[in-house]
Amino acid sequence: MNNPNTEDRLNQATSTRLAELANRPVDTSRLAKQLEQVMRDETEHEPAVLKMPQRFWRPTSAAAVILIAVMIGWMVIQGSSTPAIAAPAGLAQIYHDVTNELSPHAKVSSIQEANRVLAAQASGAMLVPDLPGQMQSCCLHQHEGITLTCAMIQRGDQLITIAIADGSKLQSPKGKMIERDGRQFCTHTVNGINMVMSHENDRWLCVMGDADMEELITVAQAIIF
Amino acid sequence: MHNGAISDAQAQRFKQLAWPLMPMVLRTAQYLTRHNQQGEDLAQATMIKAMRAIDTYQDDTNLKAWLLTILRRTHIDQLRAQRNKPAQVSVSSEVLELAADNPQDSTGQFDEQWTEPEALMSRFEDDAVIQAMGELPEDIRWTLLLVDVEQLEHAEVAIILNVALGTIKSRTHRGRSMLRDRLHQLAVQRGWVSTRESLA
Repeated sequence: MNNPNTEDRLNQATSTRLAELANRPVDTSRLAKQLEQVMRDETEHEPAVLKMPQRFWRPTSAAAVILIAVMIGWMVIQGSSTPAIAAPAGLAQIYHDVTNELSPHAKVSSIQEANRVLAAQASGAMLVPDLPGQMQSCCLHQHEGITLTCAMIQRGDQLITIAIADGSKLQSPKGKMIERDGRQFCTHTVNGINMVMSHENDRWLCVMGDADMEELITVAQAIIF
Repeated sequence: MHNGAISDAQAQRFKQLAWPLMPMVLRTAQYLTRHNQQGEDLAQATMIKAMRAIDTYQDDTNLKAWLLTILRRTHIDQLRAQRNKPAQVSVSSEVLELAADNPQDSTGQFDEQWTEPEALMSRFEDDAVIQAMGELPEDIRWTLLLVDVEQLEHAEVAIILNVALGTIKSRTHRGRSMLRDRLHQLAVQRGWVSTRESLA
């Protein structure tokens, strides 16, 4: 088939016919019944609320309840506005999962392709900036309740993973600080994995791998937000 | 079975989010396995995993893609368990990828005879199309199921199937062509067309 218009028409007809299969009814009644049973079996049943003695509701007790509620509310507000602290051990696990392809990811060959994939996966995903290496894959990971954009690049024979997050939501843990060209980098090593973290222009960055620390700092220096 | 494995809140979240997509999961599982009971077993295992992992689903991401990713992994696990030979599992293996992406395999050899593709396509009943799709290599079948049947974006399918975006595009094109070849053979068997005549 050499005529592109004819080929388009063939593909469209095939695609349309296949799409009709999505409207084919399926009988989910038995599956629904089985799942209902599993849900009943697996759901924790919280203990019945203990009946509170009437004296609890004396005015003094009620005031105490209000005070506790206000304190809890204040703690929740404080907690939600405080950035999480990145955990090196968790990041090392992410590095392991990314390099060993143990987590869902997309194989990509360019930054543009990676950002298209990430945008399709989650509308608010942090995009990947220019990276000093050949793009291999990208993915999203949850870490300390924060979504990380992760990209794996190859430099020479080394695989390096870059994690990026919203800088207002994630901070680096205390570590050995290294300054290069006026920029501050926080370094960690966990299970043989070196990590270089920075916090610039409202972005949190972590460059990690089993490359030596200097190599990772060079990579981190090349990443500009 | 793990008693007390999920909380009431998790159960509610699962019911609210994933439950409405149960028909899609069951349908995909049945198209994939080409067997109603096996499909139902696969769908059940998928939904149970989704229920236990519902807290890992991120609200701003595609729930359908999340469920289909679980379905694919569950399917791979089931195939491994059935065969008990992990090294020979074909899903996503390089062997299948070669089979699916080898440009030297001739496909589309009857394309020139599809003069009225819309009309001929509509003559095939659903079961015939499903049967033809079931004869395609596993990764090609997965690609058509996700791209054409479930209408997912190529980028989303690339993530679910763990391959490059370009691979999805080429598999989609190739898969449609392979499907047409099989349907053409069926049309010949049914006497709708002859092998040398154009299809009208």
